Amino acid sequence: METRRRRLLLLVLVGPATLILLSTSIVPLVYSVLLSLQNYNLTDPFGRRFVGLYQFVRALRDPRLWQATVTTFQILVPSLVIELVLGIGIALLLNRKSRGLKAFRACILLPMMVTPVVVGLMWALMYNTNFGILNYFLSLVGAGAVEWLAYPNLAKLSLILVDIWQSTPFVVLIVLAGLQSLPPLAYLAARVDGATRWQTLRYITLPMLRPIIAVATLFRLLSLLVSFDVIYVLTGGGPGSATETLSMYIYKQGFVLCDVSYASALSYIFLVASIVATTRLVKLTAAPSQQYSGGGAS
Amino acid sequence: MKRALSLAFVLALVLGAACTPGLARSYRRFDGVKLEFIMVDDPQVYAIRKHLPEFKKLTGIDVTITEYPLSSLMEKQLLSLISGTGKPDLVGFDLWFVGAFGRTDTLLPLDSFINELKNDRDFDFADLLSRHVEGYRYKDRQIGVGFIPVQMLQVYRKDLFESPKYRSEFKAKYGYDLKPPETMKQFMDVVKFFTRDTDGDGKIDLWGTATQMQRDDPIYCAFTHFMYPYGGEIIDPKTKRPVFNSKTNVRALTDFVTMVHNYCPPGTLGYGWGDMTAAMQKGDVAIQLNWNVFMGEYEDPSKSKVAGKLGYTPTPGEVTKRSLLGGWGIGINKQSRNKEAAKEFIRWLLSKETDLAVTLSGGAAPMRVSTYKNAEVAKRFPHGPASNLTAAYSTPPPPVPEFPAILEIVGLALSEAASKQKSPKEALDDAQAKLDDVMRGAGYYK
Repeated sequence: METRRRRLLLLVLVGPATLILLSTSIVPLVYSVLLSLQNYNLTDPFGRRFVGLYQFVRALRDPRLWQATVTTFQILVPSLVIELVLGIGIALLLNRKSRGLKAFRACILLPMMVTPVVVGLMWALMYNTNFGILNYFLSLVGAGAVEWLAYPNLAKLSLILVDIWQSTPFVVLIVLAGLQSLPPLAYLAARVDGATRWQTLRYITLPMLRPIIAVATLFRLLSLLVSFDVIYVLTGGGPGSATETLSMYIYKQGFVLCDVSYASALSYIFLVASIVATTRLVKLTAAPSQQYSGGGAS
Repeated sequence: MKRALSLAFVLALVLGAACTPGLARSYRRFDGVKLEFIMVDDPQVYAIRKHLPEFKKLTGIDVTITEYPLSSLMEKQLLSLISGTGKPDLVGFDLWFVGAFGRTDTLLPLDSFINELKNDRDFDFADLLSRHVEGYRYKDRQIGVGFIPVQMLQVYRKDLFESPKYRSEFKAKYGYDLKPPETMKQFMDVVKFFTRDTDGDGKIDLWGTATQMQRDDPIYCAFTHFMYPYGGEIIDPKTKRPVFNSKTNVRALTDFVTMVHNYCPPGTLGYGWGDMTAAMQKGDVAIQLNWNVFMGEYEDPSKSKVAGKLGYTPTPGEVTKRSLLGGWGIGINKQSRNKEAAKEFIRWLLSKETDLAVTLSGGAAPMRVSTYKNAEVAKRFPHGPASNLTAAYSTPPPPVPEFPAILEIVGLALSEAASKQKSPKEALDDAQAKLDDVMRGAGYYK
């Protein structure tokens, strides 16, 4: 009797949450799998039928998908590397007790607080060829007006710049938190052993920060992979398809061309590729740090 | 005798009432009915919303307009219509996507309703801009009717075109009088002529024109100014085969790219509608081909340096006289439980009184010729006659369900050519192959 009552209580407590989870997460997930196995275009509801893996085969033969993949990495890799280097550098600078640093810390985190759409609109004004502030500064040194978003490479560079501006503070925040949690004893020991500042950074700080950097890298990687808002506002994927990233391409298929089945198939391909990439990254970065912390403990 | 006199009195009253000018027509009452209307976020909608309480007073119908950004509108509307829930009751859809909406067979055929309006003398159907009614036909049925008529026109700086200095200089250089262009050849001469350094500081500060270059809709609109007058097409209307890489289109795209790179302000490659409008408002350009809905912005002295200095003419021709038609139409959900109330809303929305009232309270595009003739409207919208003349020879894009895909392919090709990633010929050839895939895949030919 007691067990029965206990089971009933469990059901009452867990049931609603399970139902909500099922309806908001699992059902759409299953539905999108079903969609990816059909040829459903919203403009042709009567032509909807089961087509098996056709959409996935179509994706593999789609040159624009491969182009979008290349474009994604052309924007992702430089953004990620520069954000990490700058983020770690700034965090090291901020990790000291000095006057005014608190205010500076607060200021440097501001870009992270701004909504991506607002960031896009703000930078669209700054990149404006005729009255943008960037070209104004360039004109002060006698340089001509730059058409920031008009040409493929420059448009990519402009997007990278915006991402660095907005997301470096995130890396700073994480690394700074990591730095402040490092054990002071290790530094004391290094100083006793006569280590230089560079040696301390190279052999103490960075290895101990490795798991923290891995987390920052993972978050930034995921965020860059699905980056959409700023690209949509600034370039819309153009000029041509120069800034058409994977998420932009999937959006176009689903929302502009209303080809929801193909968009679902592309999303699943994208999801699997992202999981593989991030899992690999976690393995690469996490393993040595565990050995390190193990060694440190002994 | 007494009876005959009473009858005559009643008859006289009825006839008198019918002939009284400005008497509001009577609307059917649907007390307690609520209508949902999904539409794009547009200033015209804000103006319509101001008058909804009047409609409720007349009919008892409560209308709720929900606006969505253009980027997600069509997908939201199609999903709602296909779901079969009967909501929303009304949708405001893009003229360009008549084919896409038509194929879903979710909009109520309005043919009998249109006939009813045609027979309603008070309604004066002939006063509506006919192109914006006809444009909403899909195959053999009317699936909507225009309520925001958008059409192109040519706007130019009268102060520059009437300047004796420029007139004599132009005549000496080109051998004919400086006037608003009637052909694209003249248009190219004019934009080349006006691209100049006016203050002698060595920098160009007046540009021939500015246009809209963002993917996909903006650049599509801009290119049609060349393609249509030159005699080009994207899809052959009869065979439905793509003819996008024709010699005519290669020439049109070459001239278009030349214009953008030489006679438009720096940064034009990234311009949208707002940017090209701002270029004119700032007085940076001499002439422009733009949509009628932006002209009110040009004539507002608080926003525009060129207010009162502008002239308006129909768009230029070349081999043919043809321009692009745009706009928004209203359709009724086939599954709506309030179809009759929805029809009453359309009747009210397109009536003379509402069209005028909406225009006077901020609407940018009247649907009736008579509204343009109103003294106050004519003062605010001096472009009216030019805009309506252009509409007479304007056509919407191919009314096929595959148009969203066509637009995306064409937009990409034009953008690649404009940013010099490909030559005009290469861009058009690539697009032709993709268009062929789309049209062949849709079963128009084998």
